[in-house]
Amino acid sequence: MAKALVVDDSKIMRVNVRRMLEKLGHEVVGEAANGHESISEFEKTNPDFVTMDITMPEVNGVRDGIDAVEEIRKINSKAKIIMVTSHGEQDKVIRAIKNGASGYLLKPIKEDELKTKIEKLKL
Amino acid sequence: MSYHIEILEKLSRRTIDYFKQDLDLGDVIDDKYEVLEVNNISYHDRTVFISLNGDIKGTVGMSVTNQLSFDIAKAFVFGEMEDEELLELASESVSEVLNVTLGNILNELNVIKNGGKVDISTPLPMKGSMNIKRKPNGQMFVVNLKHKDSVIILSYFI
Repeated sequence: MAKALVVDDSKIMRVNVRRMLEKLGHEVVGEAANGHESISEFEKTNPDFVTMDITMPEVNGVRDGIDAVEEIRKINSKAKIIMVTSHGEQDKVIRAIKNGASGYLLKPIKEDELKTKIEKLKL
Repeated sequence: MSYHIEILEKLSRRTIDYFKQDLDLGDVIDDKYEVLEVNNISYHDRTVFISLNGDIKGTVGMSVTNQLSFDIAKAFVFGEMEDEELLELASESVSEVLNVTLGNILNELNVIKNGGKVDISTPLPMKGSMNIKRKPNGQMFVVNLKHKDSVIILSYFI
């Protein structure tokens, strides 16, 4: 079992991902509704991995999930972060990977795909 | 085929698949649909709009009844939540459905395949029934997807 932080501006999606992670046997130690909040929540909860929505509203200079990845990797250069997106935004996914994200999932998230991505993190 | 019709056709197909495969609400959806050009649209109680800008311009909408928005929210949380809290999340769940389905089809559109770019806004949820009329010189298209006793309204207008 691993500890997870779920980041998404949509509450229903946070609950959706939380339920899936719990079904897979993981513990959700925190949730955040924007990139800025995810940074403090990461410091507070020290999760084994993060699921991070790419497109979220800008708060305190953190524009989206990609910015948040960069900031979290400054705190922990080995942080494992799975990006989540509903669009095939290749340029954004590439930027997130360059910033240190471990991979990405396309919405709607499917339980088996989430499981595979987590396994690839080799926690 | 104009991209207005292409968007609604592909969005309809994706919506049907999404209801069937991801929400498990599909056994009551009708596979048949038709894109109609109209002068006004009467929306249900839960409606979400997303604006498109760039090489594709316009506003895409999805509208469902209160009951269906509740059922969608319930499907998202695997049924494990109090009804009162589900009602609060009903609009957000419709936003998520439109955001995901529209996001999924964007790269399949011919305009995008040919190198076009499009910006997609964050979803704008609206509560309460309403009627929107076509703008002068504008265009308005709608698809009605039959579902139980109601219809899921997909719309596109510029």
